[in-house]
Amino acid sequence: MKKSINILLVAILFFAISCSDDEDSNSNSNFDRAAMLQSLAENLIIPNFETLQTSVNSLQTAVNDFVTNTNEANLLSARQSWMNAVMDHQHCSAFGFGPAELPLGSYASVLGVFPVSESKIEAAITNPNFNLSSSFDRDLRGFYTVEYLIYGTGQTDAQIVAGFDQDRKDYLVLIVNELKTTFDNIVNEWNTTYLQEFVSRNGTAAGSSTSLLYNEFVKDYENLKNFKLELPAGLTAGQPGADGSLVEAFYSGISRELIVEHFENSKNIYLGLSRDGQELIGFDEYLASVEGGPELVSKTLTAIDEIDMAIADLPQGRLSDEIEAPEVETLRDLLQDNTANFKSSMSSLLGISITFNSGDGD
Amino acid sequence: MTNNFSYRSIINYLGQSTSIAPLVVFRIAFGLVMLLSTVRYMWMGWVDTQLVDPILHFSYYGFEWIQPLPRLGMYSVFSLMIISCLGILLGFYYRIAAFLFFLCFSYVELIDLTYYLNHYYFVSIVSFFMIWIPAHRYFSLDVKRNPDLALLEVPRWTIFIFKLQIAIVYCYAGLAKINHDWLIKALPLAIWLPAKSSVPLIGPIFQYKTTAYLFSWIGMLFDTFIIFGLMFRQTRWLAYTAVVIFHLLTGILFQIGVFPVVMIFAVTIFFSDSFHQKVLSSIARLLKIKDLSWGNSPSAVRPLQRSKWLCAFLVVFFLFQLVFPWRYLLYPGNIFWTEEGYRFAWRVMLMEKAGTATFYVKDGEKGREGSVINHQFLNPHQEKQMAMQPDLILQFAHFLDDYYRNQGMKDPVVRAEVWVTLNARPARLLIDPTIDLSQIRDTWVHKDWITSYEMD
Repeated sequence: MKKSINILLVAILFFAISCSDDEDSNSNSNFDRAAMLQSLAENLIIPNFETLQTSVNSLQTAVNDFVTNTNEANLLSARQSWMNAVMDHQHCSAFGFGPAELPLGSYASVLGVFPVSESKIEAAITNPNFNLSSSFDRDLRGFYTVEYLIYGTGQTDAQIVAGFDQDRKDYLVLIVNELKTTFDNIVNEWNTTYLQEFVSRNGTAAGSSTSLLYNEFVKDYENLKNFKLELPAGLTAGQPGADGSLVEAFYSGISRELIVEHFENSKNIYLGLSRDGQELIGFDEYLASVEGGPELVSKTLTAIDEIDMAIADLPQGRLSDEIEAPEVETLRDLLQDNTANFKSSMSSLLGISITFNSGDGD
Repeated sequence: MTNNFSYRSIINYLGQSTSIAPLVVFRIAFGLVMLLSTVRYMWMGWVDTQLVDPILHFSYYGFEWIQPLPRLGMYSVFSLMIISCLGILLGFYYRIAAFLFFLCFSYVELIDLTYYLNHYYFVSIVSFFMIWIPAHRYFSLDVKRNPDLALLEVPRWTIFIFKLQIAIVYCYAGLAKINHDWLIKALPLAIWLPAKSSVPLIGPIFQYKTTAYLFSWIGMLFDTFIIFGLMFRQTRWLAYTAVVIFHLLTGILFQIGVFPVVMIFAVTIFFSDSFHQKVLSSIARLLKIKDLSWGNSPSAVRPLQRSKWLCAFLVVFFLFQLVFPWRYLLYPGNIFWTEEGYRFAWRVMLMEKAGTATFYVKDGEKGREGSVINHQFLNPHQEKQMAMQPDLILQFAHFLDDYYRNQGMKDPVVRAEVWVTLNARPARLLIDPTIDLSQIRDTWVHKDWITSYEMD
């Protein structure tokens, strides 16, 4: 009896192994996640944050010049610096984990909030007891508060300059200083301790670097669709209609340019490219090494091409004026169609945990 | 035991007396593991993130009336659970403790369907059994309080029900693994194992597909047959070693919480009376307790009143346990795709499935349609679970229907585009994306709005 069970077991094992031969047992997926993490951190994440840090520092200098010499020329140079910084911000907003996870949430969900609250900002400016560091409000700080202050709401440049009393100047400096401190800290932490920690936590469980990077990548991608297109275009359930004032960068009118940069960074993470186009190890390579991955990559690449074309087709000029153009809805639909590729299919194939909750085990 | 397996002879056999020791060890182990598990749940902050914070909860069919309490109430329930775990562990007001634990645990379990775990179901069943058995009548504070309670022997059925339940869990989990994907394609392990290649020491072997095949087959054979190894004295230690290794391995590899510990402890009930007596003696020595029964020599044999009702109940209960998991056969279509009859059937870690669900709500009056940002209503775990299970999709659609009605929308039309990937196959639409889900009620009948799915 015992002997026959043994024979049965051996037979089953042989069957299992021979099956695996049919299925090409040599196809092993020895993808090196640590190498991917290192490649992306050293050539994409850290350089992007350093670029942002530099441009935020320039913004601070320009704003200081403006508050010392409050004239139209300095206003224009402050705007130029702000534009550079907010473009660079698009290339970092997906990396809101680790050092870029602030007490109130990922840095972009705190300092990249739009629309800002004009009334809260005006109230804070005139409130002598206002304390930014003890405020939990996200819509009176960050990049788009700076924008509101230096672009104004339809006034001429001369009027804006004339309106900059000391309280307004102080508030502008306060907001820009918070940006500077934040990115100085983020870059410093990445370069001193976090890089090593990031590369070493190379598993796929919740809290691992792959999981953090992946989750923030998806969230950031969904933010592009949800908040930069869908909501202003009135395509969210229950909205009575479009509202152009909800776009990102409403005051400066560079929404379209920011969408271009935003998706550029999503592609860089997925395809493994540095901002200047140098080839890195990205999620596409990781996917190519796993069961069902190559099919998903080719499907995703097609979707990315379509999105690129739809972005190119967006109307020129202020997006807030063109928010009901059919091209906006087309882009939204294409981003939506690709969401499953980035979100569920990718995490499923890679076995990345999304939450800390227990799964069902045996 | 008589030779014929007639109903009467089985009942007689199960009524015979046997040592109480296994029951007492089981009581202590169960109380301890549940205590740790409850403390862990609170420690992880899950009372807030899973029960208190969510805007909506997904109900179990027929249990829509179960709702979470406010924060303070939920913490009170958990405190009560901790106290009742201690009561079970120490055998202190045991029956009340067991009853309270069963009530609190099942209540929490039934609050939100997205947290469904087979092992929660198992714990509910076990704690229900605990109410009816005299596990506190030896080596307990109850006996210390009232030495008259002490018993040395109990009827066999009080131990047998746990063994039978554990046998069903393993066997059914094993039988469920006998399917094409699991055995012939080594899926989903061929997806899960390579993701674990950074595990220390054994990590490197997970990159090979052969490893996934070995694990799939061994896993299936283990689950299906381990119970036979545990039943017989000659193979018991070997089988138990396999149990420990198997569960430790799955515990290291997968995010499955306390389940491995629960099973490693629960399975000890298969060991002999003398083994359990030794365990109790060791505990007593450790705690410097001289007399396990505290007091007068306990009545050696005092058979409990045999109840016809209890007997009938147990027969019906186990018939249900044996039959209910097969209900999926009554539904057309692929069970992995439709999940009709999937839960409460010991189908554990069987498939890798994930979806992205986009809901569209149309104003029935104005005709304007917009999409829903799921995470404004759901936490990440709820969203993930919802996006691949048809009945949860339906519940969320009804929530949206109510929500937008309250916002002043007339006759909302709710539809969903749900792309689901199953065992690494390209994503497909799970349900008909044109159907108005707000018009559909959940029933036991097959959901014909789920797409059909042929596996290659």
